[in-house]
Amino acid sequence: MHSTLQRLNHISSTATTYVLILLSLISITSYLTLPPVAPGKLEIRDLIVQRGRLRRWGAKEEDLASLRFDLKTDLEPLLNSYNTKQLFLYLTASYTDSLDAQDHEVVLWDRIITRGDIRDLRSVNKSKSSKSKSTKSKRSRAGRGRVWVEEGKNKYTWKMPSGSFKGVQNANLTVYYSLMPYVGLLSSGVAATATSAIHVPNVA
Amino acid sequence: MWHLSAASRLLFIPSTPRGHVQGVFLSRLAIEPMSAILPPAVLEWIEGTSIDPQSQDLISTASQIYLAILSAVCFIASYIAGSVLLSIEIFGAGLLLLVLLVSPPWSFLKRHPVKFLPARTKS
Amino acid sequence: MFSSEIARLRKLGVQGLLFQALNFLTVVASGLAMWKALCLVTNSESPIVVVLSGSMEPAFYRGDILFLTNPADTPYEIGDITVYKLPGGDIPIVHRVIESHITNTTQRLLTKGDNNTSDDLVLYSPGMEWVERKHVIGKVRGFLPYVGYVTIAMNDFPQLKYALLGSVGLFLLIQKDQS
Repeated sequence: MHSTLQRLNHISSTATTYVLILLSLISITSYLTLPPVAPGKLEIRDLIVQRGRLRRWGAKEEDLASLRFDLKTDLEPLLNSYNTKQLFLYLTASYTDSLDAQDHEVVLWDRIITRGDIRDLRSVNKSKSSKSKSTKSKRSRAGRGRVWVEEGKNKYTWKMPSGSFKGVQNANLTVYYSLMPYVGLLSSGVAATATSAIHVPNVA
Repeated sequence: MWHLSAASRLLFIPSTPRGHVQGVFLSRLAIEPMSAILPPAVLEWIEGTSIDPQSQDLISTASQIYLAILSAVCFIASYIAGSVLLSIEIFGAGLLLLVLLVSPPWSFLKRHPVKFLPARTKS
Repeated sequence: MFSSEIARLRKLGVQGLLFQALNFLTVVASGLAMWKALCLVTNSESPIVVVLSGSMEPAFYRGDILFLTNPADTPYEIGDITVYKLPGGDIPIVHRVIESHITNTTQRLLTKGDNNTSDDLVLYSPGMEWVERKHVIGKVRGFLPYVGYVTIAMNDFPQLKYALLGSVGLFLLIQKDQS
């Protein structure tokens, strides 16, 4: 005969199937209807290369580059699109070393833009969801996707595995975004481009 | 054929100190369902939640259709609202409703009980 | 408890017993075949992983499921979220690539967790400065939240595992005679 247990079993297996269908429908639709992004503007104010030492035990003296940049781009439609959980913005420099013919690509700066305040029970560091955020978030939430950075500095030290920028003439700087969905496929693209490649100066 | 039957006996009826009693017990179990080893209270409870076959058929088709429509509604609502979370919330609520409606042995699911033929008595 | 088992075996006979075993093996083998086919298609030794740490929050939380691919002959790009396994360690790590240096023989990567303040250099094995292609299991392509939490919960609370196994066993027992 058909008991409650069997009915529950039957319903849960059917429901699981339909949840999976629903989620794949969401993920496919959101992937196909991603709003296009008009790449914003990235301007490099200055780029300095100097000899220095990292604050690491046993660090050798090497070429360290630091730069300042302005960034203006509008990712608001993308951030508020159907299935977006967060955007990860990152500024990259890509260049070729003529001395050893290596292709290099490094992240110099990044920023996480979440959609709304993500409150996840499983969060490991609970301290981050602080109280001060709640008063501020209402106001700042609307314009969160409009990124405007003035005189930003590189977050990560820009250095070479060889320790020297001698073989590098020019570097292309680009800001990319990486989109994290609530469920489904990850996607990425260009968020802002610089007008031209930047000259990497040599240390005298 | 003797060795074969001996082998099968070795395989399936291990000799125990209480050989005789065990044998009787085994034969009784062999024709009775597995559920004989469950406590009667549990069995009674499981039996008590049964519904009639006709309602069961109705429920399985109806819940299938219900869930299909529910997921379609969830998808459309969440797409219009632009929120994935909404679809999960609606689906959860809908599923809860279905479970409440269908899983307990409500009286409306027992309207067509199986009518057994009357026990024949030897005349 | 045992006597009933024996009774059941007796009822089945040798042939039935073998058939039952074959059935069981078919289920296991088809599962394995599907997993291996997925490995082949994605070119990854483990195309589905569960996130175990909070170092990629708020992108990934503990218990999220990730789907990986490892396309052969295409270098990893910067910003990709890779899963790599260090030579000594047995737990794979999910972190984002922040530096890529392509030489003519290999690709060297530096990784960092979004939620960590510094890069992964401290995590690497002694003497190791880069993650190389051979360490990488794949890059994250798809994402399914929460579902993997079951496995984490079962690891954290073994009682849960036994309770689940027990209830499944009980359920099978009940199912048997009602069909």
